[in-house]
Amino acid sequence: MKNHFYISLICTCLIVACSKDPNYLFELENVEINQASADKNRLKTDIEFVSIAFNDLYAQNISQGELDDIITVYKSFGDKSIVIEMIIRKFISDENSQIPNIDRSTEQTVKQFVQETYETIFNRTPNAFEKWYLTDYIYSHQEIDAEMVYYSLMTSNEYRYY
Amino acid sequence: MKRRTFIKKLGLTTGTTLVAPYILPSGRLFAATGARKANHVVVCLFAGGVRSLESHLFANGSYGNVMPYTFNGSTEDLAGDDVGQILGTPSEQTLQEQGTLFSNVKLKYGPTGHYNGHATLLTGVYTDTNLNINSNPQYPTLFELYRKHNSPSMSALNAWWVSNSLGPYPQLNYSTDPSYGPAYGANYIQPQRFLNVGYDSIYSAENFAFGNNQNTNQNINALRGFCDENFSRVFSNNEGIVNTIEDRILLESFIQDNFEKTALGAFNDPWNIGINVYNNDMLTIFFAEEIIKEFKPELLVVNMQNVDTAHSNTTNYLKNLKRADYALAHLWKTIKTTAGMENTILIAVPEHGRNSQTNGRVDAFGREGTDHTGDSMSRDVFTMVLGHQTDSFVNTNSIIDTEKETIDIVPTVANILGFDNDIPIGRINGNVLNEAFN
Repeated sequence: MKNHFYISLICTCLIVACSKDPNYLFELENVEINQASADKNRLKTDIEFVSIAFNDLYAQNISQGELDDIITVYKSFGDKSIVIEMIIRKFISDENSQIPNIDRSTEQTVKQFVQETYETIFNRTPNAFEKWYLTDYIYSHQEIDAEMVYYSLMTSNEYRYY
Repeated sequence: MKRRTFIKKLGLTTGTTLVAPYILPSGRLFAATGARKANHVVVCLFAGGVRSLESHLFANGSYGNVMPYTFNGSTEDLAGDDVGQILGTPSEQTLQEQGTLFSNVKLKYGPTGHYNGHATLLTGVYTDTNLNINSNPQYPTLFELYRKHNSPSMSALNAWWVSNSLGPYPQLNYSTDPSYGPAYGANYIQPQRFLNVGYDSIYSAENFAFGNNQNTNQNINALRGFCDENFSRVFSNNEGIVNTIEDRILLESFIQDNFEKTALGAFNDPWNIGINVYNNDMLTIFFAEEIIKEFKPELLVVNMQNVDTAHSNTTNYLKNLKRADYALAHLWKTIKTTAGMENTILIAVPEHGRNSQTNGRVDAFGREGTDHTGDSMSRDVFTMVLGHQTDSFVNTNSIIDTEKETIDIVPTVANILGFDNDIPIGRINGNVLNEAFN
């Protein structure tokens, strides 16, 4: 009797031990990784600033001649903030710059504009608060156009860093 | 009279008596601790390397005067000098007759290089071979000393540095000294490049119209302010000086006006002497005059450098000396005819001289070139001090031949504007050119 018990126990253990492992399949959802604003700690050089601004607004690289001219102007005036703002205004007011219009048909379309603008200008996704605040502000101020939003972001502190 | 009313009136009277002396004619509430000799100083760095022989020694000697507007002495015709024939000779007094000429001024120490000479003149401290041309000067500049040692500190619109070229020269508007720096720097412009290249590359009518109303500005400030509040770093514009919001509006308006004048060709022949006569020195001086007329700054420094063609083309050197001579006189005339610039002292000084020996490079007219490699003549310069005042402190028609140094310019300007005693001891080493003043 005692032997039967041990034989049964061993058989049970063997059966359990030999069971086939389940084949787990782990899948990852695609997540777009964007830089958080707090991680931007490197100041753009003058050349980087102008080149990146041009690229952000024209979706193409600035030519060496145009870059040289703008840097010459930049060096020719002492108050750099005035020159920088003039450069950005020139880019923004140029009819060839690729600034999308704000679709004000719904709050959702304005939210979409905020999202895309942050991705273009700040190279990151706006956090929930940024998205809510700017959407609300733009939606409630009908006079705000896309150029004003682009100009505000491109003359902010964050745009000086990468 | 009731006691309380009496005390109140007494207090007001006493207060007014105490405050009144500090409200100056210029509208300033406070002065630096020293008395001023003038309310405006314009320094013209007659730079590029001007040899004593071709400037005051020739003029006041017996060799013929190459700079008839600046110095006394008869001119002589030079072969190939078409410029001198156009610019002619002055119908009024020479600058020498109107002021004090220091004929024995030395760049006593340090390399006789253009930037070294400029840095020495603008900091009041001699440089050495370690001067870094890729960085702002180590010692505080005249602009920083002026803006810091006045109470309250002077607006940046009151201090201007106008240079005729780029390279290291823009850096002379402030130093790397941690006690001074961009917060006390001068507004800087290299007008030719800024206006001509800028007109093509950053100017547009829409540019200046953008954000040109209060509502738009409020929205931009709100949006930008929100972004800045949500970003942990503050961008401090530590690569340049910063003007106040009110001054920025004035500056942008001035820039726009001058871009539009550039487009209209208003700067092609501003002095009506013929479009082909101008060189960069003359146009730089012209733009300095525009700044003087617009902002009436208390301190403006402008330089010329085109005479440096002397290395290889002495005929052009002589022609450019004549252009610079004419431009300096024009600058002085503009100062004297600009309302609000009464009470101005102008100082003209080259940054260094040129060698006594020629370098063997002969131009088309057989004239040999000269370098500036540190011999005794390359350290010799002149200094001219002129006063435009009702009761001028500046001696006229006076020549001082006792030895002076180019490091004396900073303390002299500080003395004129009344802040020399406020500069910490040891910061500058030169002496005030007291012989210029009565």
